[in-house]
Amino acid sequence: MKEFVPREGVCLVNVCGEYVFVATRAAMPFCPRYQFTNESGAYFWELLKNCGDPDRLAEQASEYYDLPKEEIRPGLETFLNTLVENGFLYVRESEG
Amino acid sequence: MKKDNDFSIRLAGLTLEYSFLDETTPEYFRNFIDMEIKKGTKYGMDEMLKKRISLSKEELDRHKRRYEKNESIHYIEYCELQSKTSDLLLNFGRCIFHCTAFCWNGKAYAFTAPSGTGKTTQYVLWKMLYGDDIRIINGDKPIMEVKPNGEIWLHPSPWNGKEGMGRMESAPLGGLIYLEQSKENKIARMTAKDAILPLYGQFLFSRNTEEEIQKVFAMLEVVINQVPVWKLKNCGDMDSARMCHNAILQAEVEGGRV
Repeated sequence: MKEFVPREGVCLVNVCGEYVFVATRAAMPFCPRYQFTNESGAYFWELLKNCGDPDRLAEQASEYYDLPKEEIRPGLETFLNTLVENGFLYVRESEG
Repeated sequence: MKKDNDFSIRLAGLTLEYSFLDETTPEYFRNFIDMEIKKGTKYGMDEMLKKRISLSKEELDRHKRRYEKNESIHYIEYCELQSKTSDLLLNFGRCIFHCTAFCWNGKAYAFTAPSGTGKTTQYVLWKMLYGDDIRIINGDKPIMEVKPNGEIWLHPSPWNGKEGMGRMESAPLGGLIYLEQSKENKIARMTAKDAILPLYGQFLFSRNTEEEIQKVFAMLEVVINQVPVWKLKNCGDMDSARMCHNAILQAEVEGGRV
Protein backbone atom coordinates (compact mmCIF):
# COMPACT_ATOMS: atom_id res chain seq x y z
CA MET A 1 0.00 0.00 0.00
CA LYS A 2 1.22 3.47 -0.93
CA GLU A 3 1.52 5.91 1.98
CA PHE A 4 2.30 9.62 1.80
CA VAL A 5 4.53 10.80 4.61
CA PRO A 6 5.36 14.41 5.57
CA ARG A 7 9.09 15.06 5.35
CA GLU A 8 10.65 15.43 8.77
CA GLY A 9 11.63 19.04 9.34
CA VAL A 10 8.91 20.55 7.16
CA CYS A 11 6.41 22.70 8.99
CA LEU A 12 3.25 24.51 8.06
CA VAL A 13 3.01 28.15 9.03
CA ASN A 14 -0.04 30.40 9.05
CA VAL A 15 0.99 34.02 8.54
CA CYS A 16 -1.21 36.99 7.62
CA GLY A 17 -3.96 34.55 6.68
CA GLU A 18 -1.67 32.68 4.27
CA TYR A 19 -0.35 29.13 4.64
CA VAL A 20 3.28 28.35 3.89
CA PHE A 21 5.25 25.12 3.95
CA VAL A 22 8.65 25.93 5.40
CA ALA A 23 11.72 23.70 5.54
CA THR A 24 14.04 23.54 8.52
CA ARG A 25 17.74 23.22 7.78
CA ALA A 26 17.52 19.41 7.98
CA ALA A 27 14.83 19.28 5.29
CA MET A 28 16.43 21.83 2.93
CA PRO A 29 18.41 19.29 0.87
CA PHE A 30 15.11 17.58 -0.07
CA CYS A 31 12.66 20.39 -0.76
CA PRO A 32 12.32 24.14 -1.41
CA ARG A 33 12.84 26.44 1.56
CA TYR A 34 9.22 27.55 1.44
CA GLN A 35 6.11 27.37 -0.66
CA PHE A 36 2.61 28.76 -0.36
CA THR A 37 -0.35 26.46 -0.05
CA ASN A 38 -4.06 27.12 0.41
CA GLU A 39 -6.56 26.31 3.14
CA SER A 40 -7.29 22.85 1.69
CA GLY A 41 -3.56 22.17 1.50
CA ALA A 42 -3.25 23.11 5.16
CA TYR A 43 -6.20 20.88 6.05
CA PHE A 44 -4.70 17.89 4.24
CA TRP A 45 -1.27 18.52 5.77
CA GLU A 46 -2.77 18.21 9.23
CA LEU A 47 -4.48 14.94 8.23
CA LEU A 48 -1.25 13.63 6.71
CA LYS A 49 0.45 13.80 10.09
CA ASN A 50 -1.75 10.92 11.22
CA CYS A 51 -2.69 9.13 8.04
CA GLY A 52 -0.89 8.74 4.71
CA ASP A 53 -3.44 6.56 2.94
CA PRO A 54 -5.01 8.56 0.07
CA ASP A 55 -8.24 6.56 0.30
CA ARG A 56 -8.66 7.33 3.97
CA LEU A 57 -7.70 10.96 3.38
CA ALA A 58 -10.38 11.25 0.69
CA GLU A 59 -12.91 9.71 3.06
CA GLN A 60 -12.15 12.14 5.84
CA ALA A 61 -12.20 15.10 3.47
CA SER A 62 -15.47 13.89 2.00
CA GLU A 63 -17.05 14.13 5.44
CA TYR A 64 -15.39 17.45 6.23
CA TYR A 65 -16.31 19.18 2.98
CA ASP A 66 -19.59 17.29 2.56
CA LEU A 67 -18.67 16.25 -0.97
CA PRO A 68 -18.58 12.83 -2.65
CA LYS A 69 -15.25 11.04 -2.28
CA GLU A 70 -14.97 10.79 -6.08
CA GLU A 71 -14.98 14.56 -6.32
CA ILE A 72 -12.26 14.91 -3.71
CA ARG A 73 -9.90 12.26 -5.06
CA PRO A 74 -8.53 13.89 -8.29
CA GLY A 75 -7.59 17.17 -6.57
CA LEU A 76 -6.16 15.32 -3.61
CA GLU A 77 -3.97 13.15 -5.84
CA THR A 78 -2.66 16.17 -7.71
CA PHE A 79 -1.88 17.85 -4.40
CA LEU A 80 -0.10 14.78 -3.00
CA ASN A 81 1.91 14.19 -6.15
CA THR A 82 2.98 17.82 -6.33
CA LEU A 83 4.20 17.70 -2.74
CA VAL A 84 6.09 14.49 -3.47
CA GLU A 85 7.70 16.11 -6.54
CA ASN A 86 8.71 19.08 -4.39
CA GLY A 87 9.97 16.86 -1.60
CA PHE A 88 7.66 18.07 1.17
CA LEU A 89 6.20 14.55 1.20
CA TYR A 90 7.70 11.20 0.37
CA VAL A 91 6.09 7.90 -0.53
CA ARG A 92 6.43 4.83 1.63
CA GLU A 93 5.32 1.42 0.45
CA SER A 94 3.77 -0.48 3.31
CA GLU A 95 2.13 -3.89 3.63
CA GLY A 96 -1.64 -4.14 3.81
CA MET B 1 33.83 31.08 37.08
CA LYS B 2 34.39 33.96 34.69
CA LYS B 3 37.41 33.47 32.39
CA ASP B 4 39.46 36.08 30.54
CA ASN B 5 37.62 35.47 27.29
CA ASP B 6 34.16 35.59 28.87
CA PHE B 7 32.24 38.78 28.22
CA SER B 8 28.81 40.19 28.92
CA ILE B 9 27.54 41.83 25.74
CA ARG B 10 24.59 44.21 25.68
CA LEU B 11 22.44 43.71 22.57
CA ALA B 12 18.99 45.16 21.89
CA GLY B 13 18.38 45.80 25.57
CA LEU B 14 19.51 42.35 26.73
CA THR B 15 22.74 41.24 28.31
CA LEU B 16 24.10 38.09 26.69
CA GLU B 17 27.00 36.02 27.97
CA TYR B 18 29.75 35.06 25.52
CA SER B 19 32.81 32.84 25.76
CA PHE B 20 35.22 33.54 22.95
CA LEU B 21 37.75 31.04 21.60
CA ASP B 22 40.12 33.64 20.19
CA GLU B 23 41.35 36.49 22.35
CA THR B 24 40.94 38.99 19.46
CA THR B 25 37.26 38.21 18.79
CA PRO B 26 35.92 40.47 21.60
CA GLU B 27 37.32 43.43 19.63
CA TYR B 28 34.43 43.10 17.19
CA PHE B 29 32.05 43.48 20.13
CA ARG B 30 33.87 46.34 21.88
CA ASN B 31 31.02 48.87 21.57
CA PHE B 32 28.62 46.38 23.10
CA ILE B 33 30.57 45.11 26.11
CA ASP B 34 28.49 45.63 29.21
CA MET B 35 30.81 47.51 31.53
CA GLU B 36 28.33 47.45 34.42
CA ILE B 37 28.42 43.67 34.41
CA LYS B 38 32.21 43.75 34.09
CA LYS B 39 32.31 45.84 37.25
CA GLY B 40 30.25 43.19 38.97
CA THR B 41 26.78 44.76 39.00
CA LYS B 42 24.11 42.14 39.60
CA TYR B 43 21.30 42.02 37.06
CA GLY B 44 18.16 39.94 37.45
CA MET B 45 18.79 37.55 34.60
CA ASP B 46 16.44 35.23 32.78
CA GLU B 47 17.71 31.64 33.01
CA MET B 48 18.07 31.48 29.24
CA LEU B 49 20.29 34.56 29.24
CA LYS B 50 22.73 32.86 31.58
CA LYS B 51 23.51 30.36 28.84
CA ARG B 52 26.87 31.24 27.34
CA ILE B 53 27.04 31.81 23.60
CA SER B 54 30.17 30.21 22.24
CA LEU B 55 31.61 28.29 19.35
CA SER B 56 33.35 25.01 20.08
CA LYS B 57 36.69 24.18 18.50
CA GLU B 58 34.94 21.43 16.52
CA GLU B 59 32.30 23.85 15.20
CA LEU B 60 34.99 26.32 14.23
CA ASP B 61 36.92 23.65 12.31
CA ARG B 62 33.75 22.61 10.52
CA HIS B 63 32.85 26.19 9.53
CA LYS B 64 36.41 27.01 8.43
CA ARG B 65 35.88 25.09 5.21
CA ARG B 66 33.40 27.72 4.03
CA TYR B 67 35.94 30.55 4.36
CA GLU B 68 39.07 31.57 2.48
CA LYS B 69 42.07 29.47 3.48
CA ASN B 70 43.91 32.33 5.16
CA GLU B 71 40.87 33.74 6.97
CA SER B 72 41.60 34.53 10.61
CA ILE B 73 40.12 32.46 13.41
CA HIS B 74 38.71 35.55 15.11
CA TYR B 75 36.88 36.66 11.97
CA ILE B 76 35.33 33.21 11.48
CA GLU B 77 34.33 33.07 15.14
CA TYR B 78 32.81 36.56 14.94
CA CYS B 79 30.77 35.63 11.83
CA GLU B 80 29.60 32.29 13.14
CA LEU B 81 28.47 33.69 16.48
CA GLN B 82 25.89 35.77 14.65
CA SER B 83 23.55 32.83 13.99
CA LYS B 84 23.92 31.51 17.54
CA THR B 85 23.15 34.97 18.87
CA SER B 86 20.07 35.31 16.71
CA ASP B 87 18.76 31.89 17.80
CA LEU B 88 19.03 32.93 21.44
CA LEU B 89 17.47 36.34 20.77
CA LEU B 90 14.43 34.65 19.21
CA ASN B 91 13.39 33.58 22.70
CA PHE B 92 13.02 37.27 23.54
CA GLY B 93 11.12 38.56 20.50
CA ARG B 94 14.30 39.63 18.71
CA CYS B 95 16.12 38.43 15.62
CA ILE B 96 18.97 39.61 13.44
CA PHE B 97 17.56 41.02 10.21
CA HIS B 98 19.55 41.37 7.00
CA CYS B 99 19.23 44.99 5.94
CA THR B 100 20.81 48.42 5.92
CA ALA B 101 19.00 50.30 8.67
CA PHE B 102 19.02 54.04 9.20
CA CYS B 103 17.23 56.66 11.21
CA TRP B 104 15.15 59.32 9.47
CA ASN B 105 12.62 61.68 11.08
CA GLY B 106 12.87 59.75 14.35
CA LYS B 107 12.02 56.41 12.76
CA ALA B 108 14.09 53.50 11.53
CA TYR B 109 13.86 52.55 7.88
CA ALA B 110 15.62 49.64 6.27
CA PHE B 111 16.68 48.62 2.80
CA THR B 112 16.49 44.88 2.62
CA ALA B 113 17.29 42.38 -0.13
CA PRO B 114 19.58 39.44 -0.79
CA SER B 115 23.31 40.25 -0.74
CA GLY B 116 24.61 42.13 -3.76
CA THR B 117 21.30 43.79 -4.66
CA GLY B 118 22.36 47.30 -3.67
CA LYS B 119 21.33 47.99 -0.07
CA THR B 120 24.51 49.91 0.70
CA THR B 121 24.37 51.71 -2.65
CA GLN B 122 20.83 52.90 -1.94
CA TYR B 123 21.84 54.08 1.53
CA VAL B 124 24.86 55.97 0.17
CA LEU B 125 22.63 57.66 -2.43
CA TRP B 126 20.26 58.77 0.34
CA LYS B 127 23.21 60.02 2.38
CA MET B 128 24.48 62.05 -0.59
CA LEU B 129 21.04 63.54 -1.16
CA TYR B 130 19.78 64.02 2.39
CA GLY B 131 22.97 64.32 4.42
CA ASP B 132 22.41 64.75 8.15
CA ASP B 133 18.69 64.06 7.84
CA ILE B 134 19.59 60.39 7.94
CA ARG B 135 21.90 58.48 10.26
CA ILE B 136 23.04 54.89 9.90
CA ILE B 137 21.97 52.38 12.54
CA ASN B 138 23.61 49.32 11.06
CA GLY B 139 24.85 48.63 7.54
CA ASP B 140 24.14 44.92 7.34
CA LYS B 141 22.62 43.04 10.26
CA PRO B 142 20.76 45.08 12.88
CA ILE B 143 18.59 43.39 15.48
CA MET B 144 14.84 43.62 15.02
CA GLU B 145 12.73 43.58 18.16
CA VAL B 146 8.98 43.05 18.30
CA LYS B 147 7.82 44.21 21.71
CA PRO B 148 4.82 42.62 23.46
CA ASN B 149 2.81 45.81 22.78
CA GLY B 150 3.42 45.42 19.04
CA GLU B 151 6.07 48.14 18.71
CA ILE B 152 8.90 47.19 16.40
CA TRP B 153 12.41 48.50 16.91
CA LEU B 154 15.69 48.22 15.05
CA HIS B 155 18.82 48.08 17.19
CA PRO B 156 22.52 48.18 16.38
CA SER B 157 24.58 44.99 16.38
CA PRO B 158 28.28 44.13 16.08
CA TRP B 159 27.64 42.61 12.63
CA ASN B 160 27.70 45.71 10.46
CA GLY B 161 29.01 44.43 7.13
CA LYS B 162 32.17 44.82 5.14
CA GLU B 163 31.86 48.61 5.14
CA GLY B 164 31.65 48.64 8.95
CA MET B 165 28.75 51.10 8.97
CA GLY B 166 27.05 51.33 12.31
CA ARG B 167 26.18 53.61 15.20
CA MET B 168 24.86 53.00 18.70
CA GLU B 169 21.34 54.21 18.03
CA SER B 170 18.01 52.37 18.10
CA ALA B 171 14.72 53.57 16.65
CA PRO B 172 11.14 52.40 16.16
CA LEU B 173 10.60 50.92 12.72
CA GLY B 174 8.90 53.24 10.22
CA GLY B 175 9.02 51.04 7.14
CA LEU B 176 10.91 48.48 5.09
CA ILE B 177 12.05 48.88 1.51
CA TYR B 178 12.64 45.65 -0.37
CA LEU B 179 15.08 46.24 -3.22
CA GLU B 180 15.12 44.66 -6.62
CA GLN B 181 17.52 45.52 -9.43
CA SER B 182 15.87 46.78 -12.58
CA LYS B 183 16.58 48.92 -15.62
CA GLU B 184 13.76 51.24 -14.61
CA ASN B 185 12.88 52.80 -11.28
CA LYS B 186 9.52 52.01 -9.76
CA ILE B 187 8.19 51.98 -6.22
CA ALA B 188 4.98 50.42 -4.87
CA ARG B 189 3.60 49.13 -1.58
CA MET B 190 3.82 45.34 -1.27
CA THR B 191 0.76 43.35 -0.30
CA ALA B 192 1.04 41.15 2.77
CA LYS B 193 1.18 38.03 0.62
CA ASP B 194 3.87 39.46 -1.65
CA ALA B 195 5.97 40.54 1.32
CA ILE B 196 5.92 37.29 3.33
CA LEU B 197 8.55 35.20 1.56
CA PRO B 198 11.02 37.95 0.58
CA LEU B 199 11.05 39.26 4.16
CA TYR B 200 11.23 35.81 5.77
CA GLY B 201 14.39 35.18 3.78
CA GLN B 202 16.05 38.18 5.41
CA PHE B 203 15.65 36.98 9.01
CA LEU B 204 19.01 35.49 9.93
CA PHE B 205 18.82 32.49 12.22
CA SER B 206 19.83 28.86 12.04
CA ARG B 207 16.46 27.49 10.85
CA ASN B 208 17.23 24.36 12.85
CA THR B 209 13.84 23.90 14.48
CA GLU B 210 10.18 24.38 13.73
CA GLU B 211 9.87 26.35 16.96
CA GLU B 212 12.38 28.95 15.72
CA ILE B 213 10.61 29.17 12.38
CA GLN B 214 7.23 29.72 14.04
CA LYS B 215 8.74 32.47 16.21
CA VAL B 216 10.14 34.27 13.17
CA PHE B 217 6.82 34.10 11.33
CA ALA B 218 5.06 35.45 14.42
CA MET B 219 7.45 38.43 14.33
CA LEU B 220 6.99 38.79 10.58
CA GLU B 221 3.21 38.92 10.91
CA VAL B 222 3.47 41.84 13.33
CA VAL B 223 5.91 43.62 11.02
CA ILE B 224 3.70 43.25 7.96
CA ASN B 225 0.63 44.39 9.89
CA GLN B 226 2.31 47.34 11.57
CA VAL B 227 4.58 49.01 9.02
CA PRO B 228 4.49 49.68 5.29
CA VAL B 229 6.65 47.47 3.12
CA TRP B 230 7.72 48.94 -0.19
CA LYS B 231 9.27 47.32 -3.21
CA LEU B 232 11.77 49.57 -4.95
CA LYS B 233 12.76 48.32 -8.38
CA ASN B 234 15.76 50.42 -9.22
CA CYS B 235 18.87 50.90 -11.29
CA GLY B 236 20.88 52.31 -8.37
CA ASP B 237 20.87 55.94 -9.48
CA MET B 238 20.04 59.21 -7.69
CA ASP B 239 16.54 59.27 -9.20
CA SER B 240 15.70 55.96 -7.54
CA ALA B 241 16.72 57.33 -4.14
CA ARG B 242 14.65 60.51 -4.68
CA MET B 243 11.68 58.46 -5.84
CA CYS B 244 11.87 56.23 -2.77
CA HIS B 245 12.34 59.13 -0.36
CA ASN B 246 9.42 61.08 -1.84
CA ALA B 247 7.07 58.08 -1.91
CA ILE B 248 7.69 57.34 1.76
CA LEU B 249 7.43 61.00 2.71
CA GLN B 250 4.17 61.39 0.85
CA ALA B 251 2.71 58.29 2.51
CA GLU B 252 3.83 59.58 5.91
CA VAL B 253 2.21 62.97 5.26
CA GLU B 254 -1.00 61.33 4.07
CA GLY B 255 -0.94 59.08 7.11
CA GLY B 256 -0.52 62.11 9.36
CA ARG B 257 2.82 61.01 10.75
CA VAL B 258 4.84 64.02 9.59
